[in-house]
Amino acid sequence: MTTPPATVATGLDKTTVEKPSPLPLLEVINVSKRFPVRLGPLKRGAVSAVDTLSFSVEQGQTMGIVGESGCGKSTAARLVVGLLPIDEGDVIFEGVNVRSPHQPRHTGAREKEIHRNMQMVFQDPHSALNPRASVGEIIAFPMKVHGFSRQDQRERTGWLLEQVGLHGNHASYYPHQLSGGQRQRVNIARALALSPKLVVCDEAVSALDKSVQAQVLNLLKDLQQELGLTYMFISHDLNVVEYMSDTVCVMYLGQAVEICDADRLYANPLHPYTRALLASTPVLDVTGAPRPDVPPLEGELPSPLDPPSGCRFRTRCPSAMAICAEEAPAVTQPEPGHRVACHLYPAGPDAGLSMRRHAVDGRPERNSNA
Amino acid sequence: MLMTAPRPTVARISPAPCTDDTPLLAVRDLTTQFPTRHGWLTAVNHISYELQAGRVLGVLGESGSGKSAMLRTILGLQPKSTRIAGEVLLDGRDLISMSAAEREDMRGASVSMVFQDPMTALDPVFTVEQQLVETIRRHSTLSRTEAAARALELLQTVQIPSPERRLKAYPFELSGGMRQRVVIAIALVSNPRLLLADEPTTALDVTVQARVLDLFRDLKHRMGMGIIFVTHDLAVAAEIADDIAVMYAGRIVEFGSLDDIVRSPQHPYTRGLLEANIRPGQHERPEAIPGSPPNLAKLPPGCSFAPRCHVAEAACWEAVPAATTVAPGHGVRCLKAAVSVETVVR
Repeated sequence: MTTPPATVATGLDKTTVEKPSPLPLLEVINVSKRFPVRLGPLKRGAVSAVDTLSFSVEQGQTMGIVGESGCGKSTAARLVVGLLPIDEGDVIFEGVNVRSPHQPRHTGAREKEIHRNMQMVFQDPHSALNPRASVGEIIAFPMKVHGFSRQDQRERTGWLLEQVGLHGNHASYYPHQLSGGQRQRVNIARALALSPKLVVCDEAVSALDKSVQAQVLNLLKDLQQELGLTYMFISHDLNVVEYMSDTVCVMYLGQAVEICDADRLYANPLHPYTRALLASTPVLDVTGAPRPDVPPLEGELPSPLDPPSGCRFRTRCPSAMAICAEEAPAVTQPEPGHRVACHLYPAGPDAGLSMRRHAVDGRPERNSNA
Repeated sequence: MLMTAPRPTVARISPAPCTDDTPLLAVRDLTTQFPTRHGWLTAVNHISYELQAGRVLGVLGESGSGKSAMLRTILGLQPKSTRIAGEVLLDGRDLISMSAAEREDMRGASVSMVFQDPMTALDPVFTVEQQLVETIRRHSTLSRTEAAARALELLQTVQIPSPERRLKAYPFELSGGMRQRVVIAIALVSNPRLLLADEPTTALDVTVQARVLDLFRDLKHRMGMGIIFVTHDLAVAAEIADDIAVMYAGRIVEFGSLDDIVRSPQHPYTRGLLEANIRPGQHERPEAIPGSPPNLAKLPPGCSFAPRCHVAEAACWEAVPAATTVAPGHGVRCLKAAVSVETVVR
C-alpha cells in the first residue's frame, strides 16, 4: 500500500495519529423532520419521517441503523450529512453544531468545511454515478469543488482507485463499463476523496449480489481500519448490520426504539419490535439451532401522517398494554449500555435518559445548546 | 492434454426420478439465446430438471445468471427474436413447440407467474377488484358478480385483512406486502398447477417477507402446487425450497436437495455463496468470491466459473464440465467435484 499524497490528506493524518477524542465524533440530538403533504384542496398534513432521534457515534466506530422501509433510516442519514434541512434538534460533529439557526440548509463556507469530513455512499451504485463522466472525473469531482490542484487531483485519484481495489486504468472507464461491485467501489472512492472522518453508507451493499456484497463489506472494514473511518451503516439486512456495527440503533416509524452494542442487542433483544425483526430474518440453518419462538409481526406499518398515540409500535405489538396508547415510553436502561423505549421496562432511578449515550462510561450527557 | 475438447454431453442434472408418477414439469435441454450486436447471447444454456407437484424448486443465482430468462422462456414471454431450443413439458405437453394461442390458454390456467416488483406488476389506474375480475373472466365463463365473489375469495386465500375494503383499493393505496399478495391472488385465479415466482420477496421488508414465505408454504401444502422459486438469497431459498438448482452464467452448476446443497455443497461456486453469506453472530470476515460474473456474450470455452475459481486447473478452461452425480439426486458440473468429495470425507 502506498502512502497517500501528503499535501491533500487533511483529516487523515490527524485522525490516524490522534487518540480518540474525548467527545463522540457525531452526536444527533432530538432531531426531527416532517415533510409537508397535501391531503386535499385545503387540507395540509405532515409526514413525521424522523421524530426526536438521538444517538451518538464514537470516533472509529460503526453505528448500524436497522429498520423496515419507511422507518426513517435514510432520512436520518440525509439529515446528518445535510442533504435535507433539519426541522428541529441538532447535529453536532466534532463538537461543532452543524446546523446554525439561520441556515438550516448547510451552504456556507463553514458548512463546506464540515461536509468535507462527512461523506455518503448511496444505495444504487449505478444511479449515483454520472453516466457521462469517466471514473477519474467522478472521483476527482469533490476535490475540484474543494479547490485541489490538478496534480493533486490526479495523484489522489490514483491512490483512491488502488485503495478500493480497482486498477489505475479504470480511471478512463465510464460507469456503464463497470460491474455493479466495481461501480460501488467507485462510489466509495468518491466518498473517500476528501478524506472524510465520517462515511454514511445508506444501504451501500443492498443492491449487490451476495458474492460481491462480501467483497464490498470486506473493503469497507479494511478502509475503516487503515484510515480510522467512522461509519454510519444503514441497512435492512440484520445480519450485515450485526457483522459491520459496534453499536446498533433499531428504528420504527421515525423513532429509535432500542440502541445497544451489536453483540448484546442480537443476543438479548429487549424491544418487541427488535424481537420480531430478528425472528423474521431468514436464517440459513446448517446447525439445526432452534429458531426464536416469536410470532411473525402482524398488521401493517401505520401511516406516518397520523402515527399512533403513545408508543408508535403499539398497534402491532404482541405485548401492548393500556398505558402504551396513553403515553410515549421513556428511554430506560434495563442493563448497562442497553437502552430501550418500551413500557415493558419501567423507568428506574435513571429517568430522563436519551438514546444518545449508549456506551458504558462516565461521560456527561450534554445539552443540545452546548 | 486434450487437443480437441470433446463436445460436452448434455447430461441431465435432476433428482432421482420418482417411479410412480410423471413429473409436473420437465425441462429438457432448454436453451435461450438473445441477439445482440456481438452475436448470440446465451442466457439459458442447456438446462434440464424435473419438478414434482407439491414441491418447491429454489433456483439460486446472481443477477445475470439466467434465472429470470429461464422463467420467461417457460412461460413463453420472450420476444420473437429470441432463439429457443429444448423442451418444456408441463403435464407431458411441450410449451415450447405449441402455438401461441395454445400457450396463451395454458398461461394463467395451468401455469402462472409472480413477478418481483409488485408495483409494476399491477396496473396503477385500475382497482384490485377490476384487475382480479378481468383475469377471472378471461379464464372462465363466470358473470361479473360471480367473478367479484371469486375475487373476494382469492383475497381471503392470500390472507389480506379486510378484503372487502381492499377490493375497491387502487394499488398505490396498498403497502408493498399487500400488493404482492394481490399479485399472488391474480396468479392463483385459475388454480394453476405450476407457479413461477421470480424473486417475489426481494422487494419486501423482512417482516413482510416472512409472511409471504408462509403464504407460499401454505399454497404448496394446501393446493399441491409445484413452485419454482427464483431468488438470489440462499437464506430465503433455505426457508422455502425442497430442492435447489444453483445457476451460474446460464447453466445449472449444482442440483440437489436443500440438505445436499447446504450441508455438502460440491461446486466451488455454491461453497463460495455459502461462505459469502453473512450469518447471525458472525465476526470473522466473509470469504468473498473474487471477480464478477462473466459476460454472457463472451463466455469462456470451459467452465464459466473457472476465472473466479480457486481450485481451477488447466482442464477446467478447456471444456464445459459434464454433469456428474455425486449422490442420488445430487448432481454437479465440476471437474474438481470428485476430488472435493474426498476432501470432505477425510
